[in-house]
Amino acid sequence: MKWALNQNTTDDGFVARVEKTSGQNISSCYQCGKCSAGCPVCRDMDLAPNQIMRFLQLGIRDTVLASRTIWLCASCQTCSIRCPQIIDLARVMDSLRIISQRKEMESAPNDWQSLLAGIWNRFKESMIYILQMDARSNLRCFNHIFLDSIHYYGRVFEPALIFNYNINSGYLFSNFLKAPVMLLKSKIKFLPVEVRRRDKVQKIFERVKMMEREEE
Amino acid sequence: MTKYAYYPGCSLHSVAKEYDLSMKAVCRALGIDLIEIPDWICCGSSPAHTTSHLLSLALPISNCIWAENQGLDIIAPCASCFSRLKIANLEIKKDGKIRQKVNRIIEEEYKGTVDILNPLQLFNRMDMHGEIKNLVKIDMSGIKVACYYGCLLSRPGDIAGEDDCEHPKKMDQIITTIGASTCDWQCKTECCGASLAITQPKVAFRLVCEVLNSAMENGADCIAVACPLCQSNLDMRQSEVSDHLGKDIHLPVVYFTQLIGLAIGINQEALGLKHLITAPFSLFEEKCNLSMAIAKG
Repeated sequence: MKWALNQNTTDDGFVARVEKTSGQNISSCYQCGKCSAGCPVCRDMDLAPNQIMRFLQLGIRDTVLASRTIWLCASCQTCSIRCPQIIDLARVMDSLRIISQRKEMESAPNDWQSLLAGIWNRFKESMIYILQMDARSNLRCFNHIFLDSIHYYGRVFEPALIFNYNINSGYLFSNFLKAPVMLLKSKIKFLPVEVRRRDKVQKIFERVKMMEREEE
Repeated sequence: MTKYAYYPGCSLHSVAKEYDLSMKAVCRALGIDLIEIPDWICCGSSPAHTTSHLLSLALPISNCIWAENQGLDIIAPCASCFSRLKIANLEIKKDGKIRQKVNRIIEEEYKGTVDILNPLQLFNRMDMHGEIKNLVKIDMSGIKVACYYGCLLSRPGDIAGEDDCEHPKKMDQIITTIGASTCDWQCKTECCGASLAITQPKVAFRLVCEVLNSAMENGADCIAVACPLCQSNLDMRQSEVSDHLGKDIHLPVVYFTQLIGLAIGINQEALGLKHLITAPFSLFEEKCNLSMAIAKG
């Protein structure tokens, strides 16, 4: 595979940004490949974890952010504990996901109208995703719905989580066949528990957003 | 009586209610007082730490305030909650600036004096082994248990509290204490892919197959877990795994607290065994000579 390194393909500031967000020293990686050897999902990735590190060192931002790899990482931390240079690679992957999602964080809901608006927006987005059926969109979609649930109820309400995910991701019947056995073993809760300090939770989300905007 | 603040997390109130039930029952029998943190909120789990670093600290820390005011340490049975609470606490202790930021977000003054423990650490405290051993009533020696730690109970070592994160021992020690035997197998710290179970089901399925197959090949009668995500991921897909591997896989995936509870003769109904998807009853009836009529409900 050939990669051209020039002003159009590299971004010098990107490494610094990832190092700041992750607190890790990217340049200390010497490509031993131990991270990729131990990674349980490496074979499903388009770029192996050590390749991500090399691309980062070279500042090839777009290739890294567009890779399936950063969304397939299961955060299992095997790479982080085995790295001879003590780079917390799982944290680097987190930072890459954070950086690529930053903009989307803006639209978290605080009342039911904006909750509905958010669902509608993601539904529109998902129409594009359905055509792609892609790791990137799936996890991003799941993250949003999961955090919306915390934002709205204070806790995760699983039935709504799965329902919203299926609608928004386009995998309408995903996990559908698991429902009867879950019901039979009474593992499904029918009503969400609403935490009394819900307004506090919403304030936490708002302040995090505000502080992150200040930092940028 | 030792007192702890109890952070069940979302899973223990829904898909993992048997973990919640058995944890409380075993603690009651051992004289440990668990007080549920009032109005706790979700720790944010993976979606938070892959979306916003500050959010992944603020959500867990806002649950620690109450425990700090009461002067209690926190028990978090869910491996994911435990990991997030512990990481947030360590980071706040290390970095004063981060602590100020988080305090500004949660609008309270958290100092970071609370220690976070998972049940493996709790039951491995010096005095506990002897106490559990004294209470054992049932002969569990016929059962061979594959202790499964997965990711977050073994890694990273300083968070999970394991001396050797490639070869953790805490669960094996507890299972040996109750008289059952444990097996050596290569997948005890492999990832089961639970965090991808919804978004990348095919990838997760491959990982589940590997773990179940390895336990089976090493002669395990059941798998013991201490994480609700691992439990549901390994328990729910066994019929598909059997079809895929072309061999019959029937491996009950039980919480290690349920095994302790059975061994020390806790009322079977209180251990929630009927909520497990792969039924463990015939196993305990055959190998431990237990009558499981009450547990079946």
